[in-house]
Amino acid sequence: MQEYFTNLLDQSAFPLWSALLLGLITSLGPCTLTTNITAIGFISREVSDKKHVFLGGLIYTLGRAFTYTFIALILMFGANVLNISGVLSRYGEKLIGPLLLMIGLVMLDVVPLSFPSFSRWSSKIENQQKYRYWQHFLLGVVFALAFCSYSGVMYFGILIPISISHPSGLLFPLLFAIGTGIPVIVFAGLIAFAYSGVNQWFVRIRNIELWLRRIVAVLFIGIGIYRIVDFWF
Amino acid sequence: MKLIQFILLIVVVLLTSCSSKQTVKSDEMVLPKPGQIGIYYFRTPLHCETCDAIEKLIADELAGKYADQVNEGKIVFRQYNLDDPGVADFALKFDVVFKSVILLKDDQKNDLTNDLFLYILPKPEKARKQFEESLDKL
Repeated sequence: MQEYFTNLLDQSAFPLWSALLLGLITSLGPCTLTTNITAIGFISREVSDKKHVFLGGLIYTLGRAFTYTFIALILMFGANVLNISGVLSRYGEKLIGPLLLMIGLVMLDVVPLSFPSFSRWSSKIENQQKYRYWQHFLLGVVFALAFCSYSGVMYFGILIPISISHPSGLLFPLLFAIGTGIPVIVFAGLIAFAYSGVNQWFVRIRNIELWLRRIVAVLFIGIGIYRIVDFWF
Repeated sequence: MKLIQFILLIVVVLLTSCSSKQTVKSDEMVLPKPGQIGIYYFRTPLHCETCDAIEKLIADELAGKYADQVNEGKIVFRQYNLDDPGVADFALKFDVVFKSVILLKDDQKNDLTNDLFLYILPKPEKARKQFEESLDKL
């Protein structure tokens, strides 16, 4: 599939279309694929609310777009490309494993994440649907920061030079982000759609949700440990 | 408690089954001799499927099509670990801050990083062609 999209990119004569394709190709690279699979697991853990799952996929992509556009903006305003790309590309891939492990442990309540002064405030906002989307947004922001070799070259090496030299430069990182988020949006949509088709079977979905949450947390921990071992040992 | 035991079990299994961090020994930090083509590969020891494929492509090419030029000293391949002391500063001379493949000859520099990273996995033959064309141009 990566070959197919790379062929399309080779034939593309429109820079904006190329940015979207570049994002899509990056999403199929080893590192972004890992984070996207994890994101799909995270977003689909509350499967009873299909609107929530689908919107979660969109908001996760919005989070990615925020990061990519923000970095592009800094670079367009004259920040040193070498400094920023060097730091993010070299340390991003080292952070992704511990980050996934930590999120998984927090989700399982093995590592409690409660601050006394914020506990009332946080429990209040957790009960409100609109604030729950912040989790997806932040996940997109953080995962986009986790540049690895492949995504680092695609973004800093190919996308940013085109963005800086083009009049509609800021649209490029936005389209790139949409490209990297397409698999998550598609799978979130499929999960939401599939759930509505078998709605009758999930009458006691609340119980299933608890287990889904645990499975997703273990998925995070497993992938996190894999990345740590793969990178560090 | 059972959960913690389960997680520890995963850790132990993974630690004992995987050990893929590679040893990348840095070559001497010098420029190619006048008239000589230098293929400089900057990387880190972290496991990276794309980087391994690029390294294999270069090794195959230097042992195959370009073997004579390598033996005659017309082409030299040098590999650097960006985590080694002094390598990051050396790499900055070529505007390199991350994993990169560059070709050097006298005052010419050709950065192959984008093309190789983009094509090496989905279209390895195109990556090989780009590498050969760039090398032949110098």
